[in-house]
Amino acid sequence: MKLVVSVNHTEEIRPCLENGADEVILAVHGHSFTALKKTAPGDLPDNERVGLLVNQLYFPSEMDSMHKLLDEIGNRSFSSVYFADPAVAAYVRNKSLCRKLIYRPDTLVTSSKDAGWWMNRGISGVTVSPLLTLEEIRKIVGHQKHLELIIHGYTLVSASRRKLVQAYLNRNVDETDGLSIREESRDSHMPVYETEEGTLVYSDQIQQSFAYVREFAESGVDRLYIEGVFMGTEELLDTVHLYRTILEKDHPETELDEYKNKYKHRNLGEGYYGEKTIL
Amino acid sequence: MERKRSCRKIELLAPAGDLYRCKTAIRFGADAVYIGGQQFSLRSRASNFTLQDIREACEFAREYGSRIHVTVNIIPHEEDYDGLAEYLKELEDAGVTAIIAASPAIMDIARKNAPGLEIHCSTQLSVTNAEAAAYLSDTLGIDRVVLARECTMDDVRAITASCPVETEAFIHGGMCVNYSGRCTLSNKMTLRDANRGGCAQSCRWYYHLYHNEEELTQEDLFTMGSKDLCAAEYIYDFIEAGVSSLKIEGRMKSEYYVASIVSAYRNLIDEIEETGTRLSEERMQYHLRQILRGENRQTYPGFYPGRAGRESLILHQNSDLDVNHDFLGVVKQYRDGVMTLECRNVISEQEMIEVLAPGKLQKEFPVEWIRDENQEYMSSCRKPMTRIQIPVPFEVHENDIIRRNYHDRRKDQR
Ligand code: SF4
Repeated sequence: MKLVVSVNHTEEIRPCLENGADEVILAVHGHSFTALKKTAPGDLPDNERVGLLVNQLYFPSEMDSMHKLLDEIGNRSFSSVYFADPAVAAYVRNKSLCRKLIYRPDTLVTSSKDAGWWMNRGISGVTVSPLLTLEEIRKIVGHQKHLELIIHGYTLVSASRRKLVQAYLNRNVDETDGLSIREESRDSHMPVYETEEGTLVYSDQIQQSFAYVREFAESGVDRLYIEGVFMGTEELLDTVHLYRTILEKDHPETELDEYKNKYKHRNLGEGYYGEKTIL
Repeated sequence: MERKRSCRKIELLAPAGDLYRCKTAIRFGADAVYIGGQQFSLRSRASNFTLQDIREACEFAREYGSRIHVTVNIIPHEEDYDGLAEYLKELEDAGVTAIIAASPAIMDIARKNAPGLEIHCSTQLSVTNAEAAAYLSDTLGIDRVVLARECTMDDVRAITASCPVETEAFIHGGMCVNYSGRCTLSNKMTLRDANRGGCAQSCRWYYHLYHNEEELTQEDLFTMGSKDLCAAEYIYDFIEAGVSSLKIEGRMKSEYYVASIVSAYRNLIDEIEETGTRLSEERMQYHLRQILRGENRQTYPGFYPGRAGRESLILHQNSDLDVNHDFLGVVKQYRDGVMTLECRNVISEQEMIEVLAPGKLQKEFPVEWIRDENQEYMSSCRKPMTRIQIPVPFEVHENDIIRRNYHDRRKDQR
């Protein structure tokens, strides 16, 4: 089992690895659908413990750029490549890079059969939807190996190709950091991130899995993923360190209390673990 | 790979929420209708076709040379597969042409258990390029891909030109502001799962917008709803691009919506195919007017012109107040110059009304008198579903639709 964390800057790679991460994920400029800070393809460090987020959907005019990136990555030593567009799997079919692919379509994998179909394509893993309850996770994990669970961080709620904030304000939006929305009858804020590619809205809560990661690890999950979006370096390192501690120590109560106390201003929650979404 | 291209004309694909609307869509000119069974389908509230209904729909479609597609487009959870293989076989036996699916596992089960069914890859998968479509064709044997609604017309052309399977594009109806299949706003706000048909349309709710502590909200609160799609002006481009099917959204919509939108697009497509050219501005405006008569929401051509900006969004709370009351009723009987009409909206003596009948030019006439089923005369009927009688100067048929005359409606609005 690997503890994986996505980061905002290449400088965070080493400290994350030193604090207990097995693998660190970087978002690639022009290829990643995320509010993480992006690294230009030319600045990606060669590192076998670094994976890449290449999870955008590609339109016809962007295919050449996708091919170029995959050719480049194929010649270098990265640990994994996250993708959402089947065109990525198509392009690296029969190439060694295929074995590094992890299918990450946000919400589209909610059953072991769908995960299994993707695994049969010769890829290395599948991220299951963050919408599942604990019961559902237990069932899926019981049926299918090589799964990844997102255990911590802000989860993506919606992704639009439209610049929604710019459209509303009727002006260019310079403030890509720090935007949020609050539904009129609620108190909590949902972070918003807008670029030329469109608008992403994230959950108001930070998903946490303190009570469950050991069970996940023991049940055969391949990868436990910490989402570093909207997290500063200190919080990211504390989070990685805490999960490593929970995974390795029988009684991590002290560390857990310290963390909860230090980040009590953060809106930590258990996401959909206990709440089944309905029709 | 050899390019698979249907030799049939471009398909007009209509939605239907029940058997009656399905038959309406077919009579008014749909080449194919997509419906939802009671299981395995998104828009659960619009999916009430029993297997018996599906069989009847297929038989009715066959009489008209039309086809039935069934949505099996949930993103399945572990427990959602029970009975799926048997269900797919029953669809095949019923004469269904295609299923529309989003889950590779479901497509795989369909391929193995019901090989006679075509597999159409749902827009939930957001296919935005031909390489993705080719991959799904190679690995799953899909027959058609429904393109993501985020595609521009240039994207549609480029994808269709090099796609090994048929392409289908949305031309009309409700439009998610977010990439399909990837939106969990409704799950977040209401625990209703958009990927299993329960979306609460939380994108249309109202939000305060902030930059750090500063509120950026203007007079109207922030909202993310998209205007409905109307791509009538791009029909010629779709045909020229080689797209196989043009899809209207709206399984929850009324019979009037189905009849008027399908018949208006039928006429538009037929005129373009007959003339073989892009229509004049004047003809296009005529068809647009006909299409928009079935609408009561604001429309925009989506991403087809390029980027969809401010003008593609519903930004104001009062944006959909122009409720359309054109639909006056459905003809239930015609005898000796008098029709029996089942009312839907207020209808009054002396107003101009018109008949919307499959394949016929609209004819208008004034309401000379109205009487109820007890032969009592009345100046107007205000109660929906009441049966009334009105004299008609020409023959009409059961299930023809009566609506307010366009010019009369405009007079009302001035
Ligand atoms: S909330 Fe809006 S964008 Fe999201 S699935 Fe529902 S209708 Fe579509």
